[in-house]
Order: sequence, then C-alpha cells, then structure tokens
Amino acid sequence: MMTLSYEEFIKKYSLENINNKLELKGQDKIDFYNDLDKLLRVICRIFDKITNIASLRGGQVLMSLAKLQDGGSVINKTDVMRSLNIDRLEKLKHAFDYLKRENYINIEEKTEKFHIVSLNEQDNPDLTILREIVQKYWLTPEQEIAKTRRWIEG
Amino acid sequence: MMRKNEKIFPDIYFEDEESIINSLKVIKSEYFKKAIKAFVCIFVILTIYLFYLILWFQPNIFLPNNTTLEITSTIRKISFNLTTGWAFFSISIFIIAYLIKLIRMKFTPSLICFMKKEIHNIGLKFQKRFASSSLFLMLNSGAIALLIYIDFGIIQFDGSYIGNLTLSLIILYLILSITIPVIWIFVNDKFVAKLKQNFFVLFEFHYKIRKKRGYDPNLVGIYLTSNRLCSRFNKSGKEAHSKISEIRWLPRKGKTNLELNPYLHFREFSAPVNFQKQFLNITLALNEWDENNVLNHYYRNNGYSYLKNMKMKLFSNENFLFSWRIRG
Repeated sequence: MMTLSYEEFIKKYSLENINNKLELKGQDKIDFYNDLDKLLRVICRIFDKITNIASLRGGQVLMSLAKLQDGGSVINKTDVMRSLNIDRLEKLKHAFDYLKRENYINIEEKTEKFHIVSLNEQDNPDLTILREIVQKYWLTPEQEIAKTRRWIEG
Repeated sequence: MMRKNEKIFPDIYFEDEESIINSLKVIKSEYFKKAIKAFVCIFVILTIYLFYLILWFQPNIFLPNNTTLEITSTIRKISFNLTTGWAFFSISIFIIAYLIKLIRMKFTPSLICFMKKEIHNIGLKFQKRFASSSLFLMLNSGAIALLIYIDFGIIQFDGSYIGNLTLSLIILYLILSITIPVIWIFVNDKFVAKLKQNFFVLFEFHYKIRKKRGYDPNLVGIYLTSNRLCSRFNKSGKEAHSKISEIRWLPRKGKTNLELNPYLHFREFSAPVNFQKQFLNITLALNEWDENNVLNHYYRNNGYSYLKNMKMKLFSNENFLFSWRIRG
C-alpha cells in the first residue's frame, strides 16, 4: 500500500484553507485517523532508520539531500558537503558509500569528480515524507551558521 | 601561512570506526605524555620544596664544617625570611594546583587543534581563558609586599588590640591570596568560544582514560556549557530556559546530579563527530534566549501593544520555536 505523503494528507482534507470548517463524520473520521496514524508511523520509521544508519554521517547526508532537493535543481556531493558545513569531502565518503549500497540514494557519476546525488524515492516512498518534513522544518548547518552569524553581528 | 614555531599535530578523524580507534590512540598517547610531564614537574617542585624546608630547619646540614656562624646567619637572613618562605610556598602550591588541573583537563594538542578547526569552520575562535595566573600574580604581589614590610620591621605587632587585628587581617589576606587563585584554576580556567558580548560557550573534555581497548563511540566527549543566563530563582527565566531546553533537547542537568549552581546555564554534550551540530544547537539556544530577553525588555518599556506586534512577527517566522506567554 502506497504511503500517503504529508502534502497529499493536507490536500485530501483541505487543511490548507483556514476558512473551511473541518467536519468529519463516520467513515471520514476513521479515514482521517488512519491516515494520520500512518503518517506518524512513517515519521517514526524514518527516525528509526536514521538513528540506525551505520555510517555516522549517513543520517545527515539524507537530511541534507532532502533539503537541497527543494528547488528541483541538480545536486552534487559538494553541495551536500557545503550544506553540512564539512571541510573535506572525504569525511562524507563512508556515508555516500553506505547510502548507495543500501539503495537510499542514487549517485550518477557524470565525470570522475562530478557526481550527481539524489534521494531514491522510487524504491523508498517513505523518503518522500522525509523530504517534505525536512524541507519545511529543518535548517541545514549552513543555514544555522548564517542565523548564528546574523545574531552575533546584529 | 603557518608560523615557523607552530607545531604540526597528527590529524585526528572521527568518521568511521577505524579512524575513531586511531584518533583515540593518538589522544591517549598525548594525554599520557602530558600527564607524565606534569607528574615529573610536581615531583621536582615537591623535592625542591622539601630541600628548602630541610635547609630552613637544619641550615648547617649542607654547609662545610668550617663555615662561620656569621655566614650561616647571613644565609638564613637572605633565604629563610618570611618573604622568601611565603613566595616559595605560594608559588609551589599554585604551580602544583595548575599541574593537577592540566592532568584532570583531558584536552590534548591534537584535540585542541581539531576543535579549533571545527569552530573556525563556523567562523568563530576557540580561545584559552586561563585568568588564574594573572589573578595569582596580582594577589601574591600584595602578599609579598606586606611580608617585605614585616621582614624589614616597618610593620610591627605590639600585642595590642589593633596589632592583633592587623595580624589577623594579614593572615586572612595571605590565605585568600593563595586559595582564590587555586579555586579559580579549577572553576574558571577553561577553553571558550566567544559569541558576542556576554554570550560564550565553555568546553570541557571528557575521556574515559581507564578504558583499555576496543571501540566505544562514547569514549570521547565534549561538555558544552553556556554563560550564566539568570538566577535559578527567576521564575520567568526558568520557564524560558526550560522551554528552550525542551525544544532543543538540551540536557537540564550537568555532569553530576547534584546541582549547587544558583544560576541557569544551557548545557550540551557532543561526540567529536557531531561537535559542530551540537555547538550550533547551544548557540541557537542562546540566540533564542537573547531574543526572548529583548522581547521582555521592550515589553517592560513599551507595553502590551509592542509585544503583540512582535509576537505576530515572530510567529510568522516558522523557525521561531519558542512560544511566548504573555504575563500579567
């Protein structure tokens, strides 16, 4: 059974429109509860997966990729490194290798140094929810540093 | 460009199991070298001090048999007066306390180098804040000046009430001139990253030195503590501290469960691999605390309407996590 994504959930029950009254009766109420329950189970599973990823940076790379995929632009390994504010790409080598091996991400090697990376949402539909949540709520270390700098200099 | 006298330390790396084990070996060997040096120094200082005490009480023991009484008494006058005795004693105590602190503080050169790099990556500076030496110099010069006056007979005690009171005050000053810097060494001498005026983060290194072999990701850790926020008895401050800590998953208690500190601080614990992220977490907690205080300040000065506007603005920002409660 396909997982209902967060955006689909919002649309299904017209939650984005604040003027609409949400009235749920009978089967609708049960569906709403079941959908919400599924969504929360997926979120729980995502965190479970992230915290059990063998490579130490694996979880961060997944989060960073999810965040960077916001604009739909091409993302390479250096973009991930920058967004995580890591000084050397070698530090992410184990994480990329692990995530590729476990089929969580796709790596397209255009040239020796230019590798395009993306989340493998086709094989892991749960990652769609991860992407949606991360894009909406998560700040990358790069953004956190910018925020810190604004506070320090301001 | 690297300065000529700057030492190059081994690059420590915490990205996979093998690199962690190798880095731990480097840290461990550096720590043992540092500890052995400190122990040797303590031993040398104690030996010299013991030698000095023997000479004080038995001055003839190391002098040739034909030394005249006049020479012996001159040596006693120069070397064994209150001033030199106190200087010797206080300097020895201070250096020994400093060395014990170095042994207890498990920072090693490579680890300091690693932390410097990580904090430099964020655009901040990792600094040493060791103010105890200057405090000791300041207080001890006062003590030595007083003792010189006593040795030269400028200050004399005649057994009167004023004389006894002055003597007690001088003794109290002497005790404080050594205890304050020693306490300072253990409490305030730390590594620090200064964020902005009145905001900083202190670092303390944790390392299970007794663990002999094997891989343990929690073997090395860094305790981060913020500057003092407010009194523990400030109700609204405590509430804000609690909310920010809760949202950012900051530990409420320090290393020990016994909390005697009357002030609130933010605390965080990190392993080397997630050091930067945890450091940013505590920094942003301070940022939220600062914003909260700014709001409080304007609320006091400009009243409810300003706060209401600010609240609307802040809640429109999805990154603002701390929910504001209007009091009164």
